[in-house]
Amino acid sequence: MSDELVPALHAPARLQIVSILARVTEAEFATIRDVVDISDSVLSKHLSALAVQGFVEITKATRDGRQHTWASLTRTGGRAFAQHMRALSALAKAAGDAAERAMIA
Amino acid sequence: MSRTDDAQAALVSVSETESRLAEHMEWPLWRHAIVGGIMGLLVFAQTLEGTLSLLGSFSAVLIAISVARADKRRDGISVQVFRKGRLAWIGIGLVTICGIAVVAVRLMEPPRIERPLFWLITIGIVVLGTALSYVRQKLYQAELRRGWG
Repeated sequence: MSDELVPALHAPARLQIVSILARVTEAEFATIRDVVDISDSVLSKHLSALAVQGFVEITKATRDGRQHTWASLTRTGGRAFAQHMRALSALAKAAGDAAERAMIA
Repeated sequence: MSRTDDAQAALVSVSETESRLAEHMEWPLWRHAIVGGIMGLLVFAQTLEGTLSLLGSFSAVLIAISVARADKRRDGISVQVFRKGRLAWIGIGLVTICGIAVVAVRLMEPPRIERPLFWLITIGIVVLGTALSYVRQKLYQAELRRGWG
C-alpha cells in the first residue's frame, strides 16, 4: 500500500521545520528560524500548529534572564514526516517515470 | 502547478534546508581538539595516586558535560552522541578506545609517567580523539547533504 501525504505537513515552511527536527535531538527557536529563513511570528505559528498535532514538543528554558524555546520531534511527528517524505518521493518518481515513458514513445 | 511539481519542489526545499543545517553544524578545529584533550586528561588522570586519580577522572567527565552544554548553547542544536547509523559507531569507537587506553595505563607499573609507552598512548589518544571528533562532524554533514531516505 502506498503512503499518503500528511496534510499537516503540506506547508513548505512547516515541512522544512520538521526536516530539521528529524535530524537533531533538539533545536532552539532562533536556530530553526535562521536555517529556514522565516520570521519569528511565522515560525511560532507553525510550531504551535505542529505541537497541537502532537508532532513537536516545545520546551522553554530561562538562561541569562531570557527565555529560550526549544523544539524536538515526537515519535508521532517522526513517523508522519517519514510517511510524508515517502509519499513525496513516490509522486516525484511517478512523474519521472511518466516523463521517461513519454520520451521513449 | 501540478501535484507532482509540488512534490518535487517540496523535496528540493527539504534538501536545501538540510544543506543549510549541514553548514550550521561546522565546528572549529579547536573544538575537536577539546575532545582529544578531554580523552588525554582522562588517561593522564590514571597516573595520579589514589583519590587524585578519581578526582582527575571525574574532572574529565565534568569538562565533557560542560563542553556539551556550551555546544548546545552556542549552536542552538543538540545531537545525540550515539545517534543511530555511522555516527553511533564513532561514539562507540571513542568510548572504547578511551576505555582501552585507561586500562592499558592502569596496568603499567608505576612510575607510569616515566615510561615512553605511557606518553605514546596519551599523545595517541589526544590525536585520535581529535581526529574522530572531526570525522564525526564530516560524516554528520555528509549525511545531511545526502538528503532524506
